[in-house]
Amino acid sequence: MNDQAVEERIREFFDMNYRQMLAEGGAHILTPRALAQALQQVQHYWRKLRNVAVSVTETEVRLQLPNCTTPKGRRFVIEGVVDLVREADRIRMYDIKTHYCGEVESHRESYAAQLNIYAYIWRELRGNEVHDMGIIAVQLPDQLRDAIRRGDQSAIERELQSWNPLVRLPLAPAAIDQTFAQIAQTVDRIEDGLFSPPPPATLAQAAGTDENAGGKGVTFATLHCRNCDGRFSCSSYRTYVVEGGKVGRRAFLPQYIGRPQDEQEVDDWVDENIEVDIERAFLD
Amino acid sequence: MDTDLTGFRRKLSEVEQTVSTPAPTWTRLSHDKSVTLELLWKEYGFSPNREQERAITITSGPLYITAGPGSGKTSVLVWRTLNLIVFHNVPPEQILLGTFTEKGAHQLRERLRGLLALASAKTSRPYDISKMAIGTIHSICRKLLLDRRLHPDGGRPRAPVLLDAFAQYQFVYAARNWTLLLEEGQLTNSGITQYFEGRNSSSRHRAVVNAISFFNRMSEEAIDDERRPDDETLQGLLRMYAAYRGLLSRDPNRALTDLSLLQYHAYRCISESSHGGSIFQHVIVDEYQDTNAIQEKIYFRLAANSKNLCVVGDDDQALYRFRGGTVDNFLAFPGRCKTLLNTAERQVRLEINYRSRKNIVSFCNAFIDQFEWSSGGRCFRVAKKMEANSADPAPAVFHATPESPERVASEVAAVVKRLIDEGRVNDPNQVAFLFPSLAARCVSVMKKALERRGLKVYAPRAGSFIEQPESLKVFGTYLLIFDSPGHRHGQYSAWLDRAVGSAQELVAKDRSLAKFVGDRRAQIQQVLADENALLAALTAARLDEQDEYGDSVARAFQRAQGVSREVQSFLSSGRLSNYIREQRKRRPDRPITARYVINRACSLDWGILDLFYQLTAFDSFKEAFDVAESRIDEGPICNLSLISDYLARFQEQTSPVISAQFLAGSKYVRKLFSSYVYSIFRLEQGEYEDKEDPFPKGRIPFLTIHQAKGLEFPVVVLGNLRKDATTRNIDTIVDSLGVAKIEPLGLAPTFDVARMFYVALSRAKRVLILCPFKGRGQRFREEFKAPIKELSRPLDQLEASAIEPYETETSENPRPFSFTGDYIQYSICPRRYMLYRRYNFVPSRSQTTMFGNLVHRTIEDLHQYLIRQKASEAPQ
Repeated sequence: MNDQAVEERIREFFDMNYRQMLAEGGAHILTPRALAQALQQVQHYWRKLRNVAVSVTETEVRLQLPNCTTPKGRRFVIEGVVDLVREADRIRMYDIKTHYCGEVESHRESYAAQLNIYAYIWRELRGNEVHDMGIIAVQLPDQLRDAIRRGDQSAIERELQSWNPLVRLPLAPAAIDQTFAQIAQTVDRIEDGLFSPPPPATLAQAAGTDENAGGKGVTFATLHCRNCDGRFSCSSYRTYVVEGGKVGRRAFLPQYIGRPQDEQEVDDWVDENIEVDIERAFLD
Repeated sequence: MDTDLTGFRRKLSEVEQTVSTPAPTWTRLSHDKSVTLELLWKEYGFSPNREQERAITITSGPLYITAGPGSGKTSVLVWRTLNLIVFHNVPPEQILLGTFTEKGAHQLRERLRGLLALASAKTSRPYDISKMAIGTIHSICRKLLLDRRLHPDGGRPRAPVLLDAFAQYQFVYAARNWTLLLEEGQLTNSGITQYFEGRNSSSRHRAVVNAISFFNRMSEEAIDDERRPDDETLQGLLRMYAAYRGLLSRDPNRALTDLSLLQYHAYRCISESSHGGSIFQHVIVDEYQDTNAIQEKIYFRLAANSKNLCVVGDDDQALYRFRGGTVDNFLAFPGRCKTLLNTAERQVRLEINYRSRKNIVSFCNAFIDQFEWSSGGRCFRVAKKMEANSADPAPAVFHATPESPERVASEVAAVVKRLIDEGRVNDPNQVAFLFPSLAARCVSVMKKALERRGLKVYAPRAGSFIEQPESLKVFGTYLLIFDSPGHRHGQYSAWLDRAVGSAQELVAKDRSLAKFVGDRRAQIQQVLADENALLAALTAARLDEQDEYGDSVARAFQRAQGVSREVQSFLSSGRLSNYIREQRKRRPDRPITARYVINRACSLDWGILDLFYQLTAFDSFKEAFDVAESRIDEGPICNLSLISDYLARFQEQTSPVISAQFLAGSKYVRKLFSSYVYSIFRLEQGEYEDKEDPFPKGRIPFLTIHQAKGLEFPVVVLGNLRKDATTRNIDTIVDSLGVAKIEPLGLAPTFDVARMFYVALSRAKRVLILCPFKGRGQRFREEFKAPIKELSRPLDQLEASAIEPYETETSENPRPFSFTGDYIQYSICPRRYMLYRRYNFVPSRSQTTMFGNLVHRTIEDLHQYLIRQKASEAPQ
C-alpha cells in the first residue's frame, strides 16, 4: 500500500465529506483553523496508528440489544455504534473520539462502561468474545501541534513518537449489570418526562477539560452550558450566572443576553460566514 | 459514533449519514432442528389460518397476497420475514421490506425485533436487523443510493441532497429559477394556472404549486422526455420539467433532488449497477396497491435475479392516485411476473377480518358492493369476500338522524361525551373522527360541538402552524425589531398586524423585553449608519466599493465621519490585517475589496437563530419550556421547535450573518417576511407532528381518511358522507400523454370515492358512527343509503352500556435508546436532552458536532478504502 496514495485519498475524502455535509444542510461552516485541525487528526491517526488502520475488518458497527426492561416494566432496545473492529487473531473493538487522551484517561470509567456494554451486545449478536478494547483519542497533544505549527520536523518526529492515542480499557463483564441498571433507570426517567436541569451548584463544579482552551480544567457551565441554546430559558443557568456575581439580578436579562458569550467565537463566526452573505444573500 | 446534539434532527438526514456497508460474514452456528416455526407460533400465541400460513411459508418465487382490512397483514409480514431469517438463513441485509408510512415501518421493525429476540432465546443464535432495508420507499431509496454494495469499487457513495415539499416549493418559487423555467416553457403564470385550474390568475404562487404537482407526477409516472403531445401548453410544461431537473443537478458539488425524483435516482442507481438485481434475496412490499410506476420498476429490478418478489395489498384500499399511485400495478401484478420475471406468481387471499365486529364487516361489504366495478366486459376489482372473524351479533353501526351539520354534530357530540364519561373507551384518543377533507365546514362545526361539551380535539393537519400563539409572538417580535414591511395580500397583511399586535402586548407587559427589542433596533440602526459613513468616505476619496482594499481605501476609511467606536477599532485592529492576510493566502485569485471589509465591519454579531434563543430568556417565551419541563403541556414547545427549524432553513438559504448591505432598504425583512414566512403562510404548513408517537392522550383525533390509512380505532365517527367523483385535471393530462392505464379515466374517480370511504369504514373495531347531512345544500352519497337502511341503526339506539370498556394493548413495541445519544446525553443534562433530542430544536451553532462528524466520516472512508485495497491485493 502506497503511503503517498493513502495520504492523497485522505485529503480527497476529507474535502468531499466537508462539502457534502455543508450541502446536506444543518451543518455549519468551520473556521480554517478548525478545518486544519480536523484534517490533522485524520492524517495523524493514519501516521501513528497505521497498523491498527490496516487491520480493520468492519467499521461503524451498529449494535442493538433487544429485550431490555426498565424497573417500571417498559421494554426497550439499547443501541450503539462502535467505530471499528479488527479480527485478525483476536477481536478488538475501538471507538474513536476527537478528544485528548488526557480527557479520556480522566473519564476512564464512563468510557469503559460504554465499551463493555458494546462488547456484551457484540457477544450476544455475533456469538463470539471481544478480547481487547479501547478508545482512540485523536486530538493531537499541544506539543505536537506546536511542532507542526513551527514546521520543526525533528520535533514533530519526537512528539509523534511519544504520543499514545490508544487508551486501552479493561474488559469488566461484572460491571455491566450496574451500567444496565443505570440505563434502564434513565429510560424510565425519559419516558416519564423528567427533564429538570442539574442544580446550579453542579454548574459551578469542575467537569472536565476544554479542548478549545488547550485542555485546561473548566466548570460544568463552561463545558456544557456555554454552547447550549437552552441556557437562556434555563432556571439553573440563570441562578448560576446571577449568583456567580456576573451581573446584578435586575439587569440580568438585556445585559446578559446582549453580551456575546465569547468574542473570539463570534468573530470567527462572522469571518467564516461573511462570504456566504455576499454570494448567496442577494440572489432572488 | 453517534455525536451529540443534532443526532435526531431530521429522520431522513439520519438515514443519509449511515452508509450501508457490505454484510459481515457471520459465524453460522449449527441449526437446532428442534426449534420450528410452529413451536415459535405456539410460544407466542399466534395461530395463523390456512392462508396466513401459506403467506408466511411460501418462500420462493413471486407471491401475490391480497389482504383485506384487519386480515392480520402486519403479523403475516413479520412472521414471513422471521421465517426467512431464522429458518432459511437469509441474512437480514438481503431482505427488503417496504411499507407506506413511517409509522408502519416503525411498527414492523419493532415487532420483528421483538419476535427475533424470542426466536433467539430458543435457537441461541443472534439476529441483527440493524442493516436491514426496512422502511418507506423514500428511506429505502435513500439507503440504496448510499449502499456500498452497489458501488463496490468507488469511495463513499454520494446521494443528492433531498428537498422536502417545502424546500422544493422554495426552490421552484425563487425568482431566478422560476423565470428560467417560464422562459424554457414559453409560458406565463396565468397560462399555467388556466391550464390546470381553468381559471384566470396571474399569481406566481398558484402557477408554482400547479407546476410542482405536474413535475412530481411526471417523476412518479416515470414519464420520459420523448413524449410529444399536441397541446402547446403541455409541450411547454414538459420542457419546464426537463429544465427543472437540469436546475436541480446544476451544481455538481451539490446535486439536489425532490421526494419524487429521489425514486428515479435510486432506480437509475440500481439499473446501472451490475449488482442491482442481486443485493436482495427477498423483496417484500406492503400496500402495493398504492405504488406508482417508478416504484414498480424499482421493485422488479431488485427482484430480477432472485424472483422472490412478494407484494401485499388491497385494491379496495387504494388511496393515492393523486400521487401517481395506481391500482394498475396491483391488478397487473400476475401479468408483470410473467413478462418481467418469466415466472408465474402464486396467490394468497387473506379474507378474514380480525379487526371489526361482524356488523361493521357486513356494512363495509354492502357499501363497496353498491358500486359497479365492471365495464366493457372487464372487472376492475380483485374478486374477494371479506368475512368477520367475530360472530358477535350485537349492532355496531349507527347513524345520526339525517339533519343539518349543526344538529348532527350536537347529537354525535352527546353520544361521544357519554362514551368517554362512562369509561367505555379509556381515553378520548380512541374515538377517531374521519373526514374526506378537513377543510369542509362540517369539520369546524363538529369540533365546536365537541368543545362545547368540554372535549378537546387534536387535528395535526388542520391547524395552521402560523396562527399558533407562539408563531404570532416570535414572528411578531421579529417584526418589531426589523420593522414590518406590510403586504399587499389582504389576509397576510392582517396576519402581520396580528403578529405585531401580539408582540406589542408582550412588550407592554415586560420592560426588560422592551429594552431588549430597543437595543436590537439600535444595533441595526448603528450598522446601517456605519455602512453609510464608510461608503460616503469612499465616494469622497473617489474610490469604488469594488476597489481592492489597500492603503488608499484604508486611509479613506480612517477619515470617515461619524463611525462608531466598534468599527473604528475593528478597522485598525490586528484582527482585520490577520484576516486579510489569511484570505489572500487561501484565495489568491480573489482580491479583498472595500465592500468586503465594509460587510465585515458592519454586520450584526448575532444571527436570526441566535435571536430566537435569546428571546426564550423572556418570561412569555420561557413559559413554553417551563410547562413542558413540568409535564403540563407540550403544545407550545412543539411550536417553538418548529419555528427554530424554519429559521434555521431560512438562515441556510440566505446567510447566517446579517450585514448592513443585506439590511439596507429593508432587503432583509422583505426576504424574511414578504417571501419566506409568506410562503409558510400560503402553504399552510401544519402543526408539529411526531411520526413515531401515537395521538396525544386526552384529545380526540380529527383525521383525513388518508391520514387514517393503516390505523384502527375502537370507535370511528365518519364525519361526512359526501364526496363527489371528479376527474382531476392532472389525470386527464397524464392520460393525454399516452400513459396506458388499466382503469378507464371516466370510471376511476368513482372507484376512488368508493375506496376512500371503504378505508374509513373499515378502521372501526367496535363502533362505527355515520353522519348523514340533509337539508339546504346538503346531501350524502347515494351508495350509503341501502346499507344504512339494512345494516345500521339510529344513533339513539346506541347503548353505551352494551360496549365493553376497551383495553389498550399493553405490549407496546420497545423503543430504541442509544448509549451515547440518549443515556450519556440525558446523564449530562436532562433539560438539554429534552430540547435537542425530544423536541428536535435546531442548535444555533453546531461546529463541534460538525467537527466530530467530519473526522469520523473521513476515518471511516479511510478504513473502507483500506479494506478494499487489502481485498484487491490479496492473492486470489
